[in-house]
Amino acid sequence: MRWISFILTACVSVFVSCDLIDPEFDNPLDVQNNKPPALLISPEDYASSLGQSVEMSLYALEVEGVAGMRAQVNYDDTMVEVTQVVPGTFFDSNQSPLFVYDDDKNGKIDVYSVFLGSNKQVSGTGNIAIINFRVISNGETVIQISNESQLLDSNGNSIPLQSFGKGVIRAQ
Amino acid sequence: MRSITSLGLLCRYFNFRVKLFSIIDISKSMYRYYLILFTGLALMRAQESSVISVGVVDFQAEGISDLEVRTLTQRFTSELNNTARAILFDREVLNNQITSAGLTVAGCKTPECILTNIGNELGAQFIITGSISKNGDRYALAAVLTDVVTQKAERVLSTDYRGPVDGMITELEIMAWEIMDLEPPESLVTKRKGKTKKKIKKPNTKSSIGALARATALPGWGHFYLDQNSRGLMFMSAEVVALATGYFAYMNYSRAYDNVDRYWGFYKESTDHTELQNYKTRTLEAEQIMLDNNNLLTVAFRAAAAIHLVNMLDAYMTEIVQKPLGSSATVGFNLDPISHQPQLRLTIALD
Repeated sequence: MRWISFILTACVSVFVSCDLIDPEFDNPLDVQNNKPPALLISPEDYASSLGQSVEMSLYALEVEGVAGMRAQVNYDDTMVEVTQVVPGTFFDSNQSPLFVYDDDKNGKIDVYSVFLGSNKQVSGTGNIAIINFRVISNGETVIQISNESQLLDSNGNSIPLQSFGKGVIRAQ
Repeated sequence: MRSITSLGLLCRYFNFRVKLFSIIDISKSMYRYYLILFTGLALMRAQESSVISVGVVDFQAEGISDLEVRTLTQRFTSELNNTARAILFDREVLNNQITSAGLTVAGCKTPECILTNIGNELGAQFIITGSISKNGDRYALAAVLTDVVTQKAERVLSTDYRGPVDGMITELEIMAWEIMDLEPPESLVTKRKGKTKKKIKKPNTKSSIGALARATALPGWGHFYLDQNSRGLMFMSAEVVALATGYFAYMNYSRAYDNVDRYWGFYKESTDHTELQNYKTRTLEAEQIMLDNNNLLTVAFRAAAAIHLVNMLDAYMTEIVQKPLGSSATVGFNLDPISHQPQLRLTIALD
């Protein structure tokens, strides 16, 4: 038996190999994953529990000359409720944007951020708003940015959006 | 029976030469030349020989008288001389050495006793001790050949014999051949009587299994055990190189793995486009290093395993060349038991 164990050890070492990581580049803000310009949620996955809050960030990806935006977010009102919406850093507060939101309490919230005046605009990628949800039921729910969302330039023209992001909250 | 060792003769011959050359006043350079030539010839002769010097100690007795056992030891010694493989050390000198050490011959018949008390003064390379015990028509004979220098038993023979007493003497004579690792002559074998049960052990004999066990435990050890030092060193070095390569590859892999994990985490959490691309690039670079080193360590450890297996197989299959008795060369001073003068003892390979 002693010999068998030696031989087995030797054989095992022949097939030795180490654990490998296969990184998946799935960051929604990576232009390879979402075609710009886009309105996205990042990160996409959230784990939480009943009664806990989840802070979900909305991002504008690779936008150009944006003076105003409307982000419509759909959620399951039986699973989560909106507790707070605050402006992100993308629409610079020094330029005094108008920031309002409207939660219809039926699973739809509209977030508006608009520069008053025709010469104010922003470009690039950035955080446009942070929405706080409270988990009211266990399970998995999808938070989806609807295609009703809009970006407007300083002349009030619509900038076509290519991608609309979504996020998932898993509550246990 | 020859009463002195060939080495004793050699030393006396040297003494004689010294006197002779001093009388005829031969030049010093000539003397050196002859001395070197003679020593060389003596060494060559000794290397070609397979003769060893042996001192036979009176066997221990049980169930037979001291006189009988002395006679039987004498028969054994005579037969040992017939093998022409042993230069016999004078038993009287051996007995004198024992009594000079303050012991009695009857009380010092084991190898331990002999070697502990007069081991350094013995002029023989080996001693043979033994025992003869009798119980009715059953005889138990035993003989042990012990190396004086290493103090290890080289051959252990035991024979259980049942039959007439002359058959026992034949068995004793056969043992004299067997202890010298020789086939007994046909004339002796045909004289055999009664029933015999025999055991022969060679404790220092090398075996393939022994080599395999050592090679399994440590690559190269099996070859060192078989005196295949260069091959042993080769296997050991190759294994060390393969394992070291594997180890360093593992260290690099481990570092790269951590980097992949860290940079990938940064990438996933990143919200800045430039930063995100930077972490993605770093993750990919670290991933490549991780994969390369994983491949290298796999190859290195496979090579190490292959070397280990080949080493084991080679050690097992290597032909074992048994060193003849007294093949290890030693040089040392000791007291000549006959002349009671210091003696330069040179022990060299005799085959």
